Amino acid sequence: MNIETAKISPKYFVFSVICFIHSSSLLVSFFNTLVEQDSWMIVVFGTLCTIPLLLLYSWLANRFQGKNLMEMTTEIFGTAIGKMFSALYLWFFITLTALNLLDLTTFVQKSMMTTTPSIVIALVFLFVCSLSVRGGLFSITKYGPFVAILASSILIIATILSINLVEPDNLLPLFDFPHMKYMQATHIAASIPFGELIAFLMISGNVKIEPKKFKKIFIWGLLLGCLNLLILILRDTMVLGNTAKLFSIASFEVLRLINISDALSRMEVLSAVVLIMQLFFKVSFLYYISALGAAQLFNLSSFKPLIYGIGLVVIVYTYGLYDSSLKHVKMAMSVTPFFWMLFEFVIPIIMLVTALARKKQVKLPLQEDYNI
Amino acid sequence: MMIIMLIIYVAVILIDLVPLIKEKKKKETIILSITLAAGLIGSILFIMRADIPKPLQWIEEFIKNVLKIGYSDNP
Repeated sequence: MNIETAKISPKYFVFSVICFIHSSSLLVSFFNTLVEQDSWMIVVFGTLCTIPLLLLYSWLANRFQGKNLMEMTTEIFGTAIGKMFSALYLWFFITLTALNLLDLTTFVQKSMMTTTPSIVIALVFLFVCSLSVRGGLFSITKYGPFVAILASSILIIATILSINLVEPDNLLPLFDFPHMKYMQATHIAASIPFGELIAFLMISGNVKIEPKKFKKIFIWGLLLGCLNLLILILRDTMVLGNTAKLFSIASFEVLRLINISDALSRMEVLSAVVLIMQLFFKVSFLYYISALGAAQLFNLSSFKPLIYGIGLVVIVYTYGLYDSSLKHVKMAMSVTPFFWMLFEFVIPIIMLVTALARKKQVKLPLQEDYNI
Repeated sequence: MMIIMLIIYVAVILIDLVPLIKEKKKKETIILSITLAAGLIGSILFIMRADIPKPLQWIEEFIKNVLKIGYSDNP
């Protein structure tokens, strides 16, 4: 039984996907050290590789109408095995929440609040997220359009203002690296930021849309989010050249360079504010689906009593992810893409095959209030 | 730090756990108690600067070193 009864419009869903993808600009550092000036291509290749995954997720959402990922596993595999897969996904979502919280605290501490202990930043940030999570799905996704439009506007304005710093030659030479590096970078992009969109299957049953049209809004969200990321990487590469790989947040440095007049300088603060807002959205969303998933796994009537408890576990887990940030980057570039494939590709494929073999499906009567 | 942590846990117990006990929601009470206990143990380890278990790192090292799956560190 889905304990979240709120329904959101497709518009909120699309903006949520855009925010989710755009907030991954911090993760670009995982692949721009590999292919430097060709990083923009990786966004394109990664997007192309992610579209089949989204078709797979949309197929599952259409086959099990009104159900979320955890309910789908139980429907397909039965209670015992289904709960086992649900537990795996719960761990995956809690891990993603912790990883994104780690990214946020590292960014805030290293670029702005250098003397504040990271635990304080994590505690305060997650407490604010928990207030949003307590409001449920609608409370979280209602910020999506605002954050996505604001982030896109700032991206476009900053790109226009940085036009005198742009050196198109910085994009050359093309395809200057071994093929293996392009493959590795595409794999990283497709699995770490983009493939994590499987988290949206947790709310697929709560979108007020005709199930057959779900794939359309999912893919539109991905394309628009990736377009933002593409513009950002192209601008950063053209402005910073090969030095872009030296910065964990290249766009922060690009905005620092913009100096039109005394009034239009120190614009990096805009980049920081937008990034924090995006990560607020992403962490809140992942935190929400973790709490929802835990409540569903244990057949509870509400996820709200678990919110603070899970938040405390996430904070501790954030400090128990990796020995060091170097280890984090090293793993993200070598092993994590393979491990994430288990959750983003292998289990969904097993679900598809089993659903077809066992002829499992859930159809809902067509409702009149569907809209696009 | 330990005092701040205890205040946070007491607050969560008062806000979430006590109402569940009063409402006699047994399953919710057990799950939340286990979650809080896990968080508390982890927090104590963190404050005492002891090693916090790192399941993600262990799994990834197993994949890399035992299963030999993964990209080379210097491709």
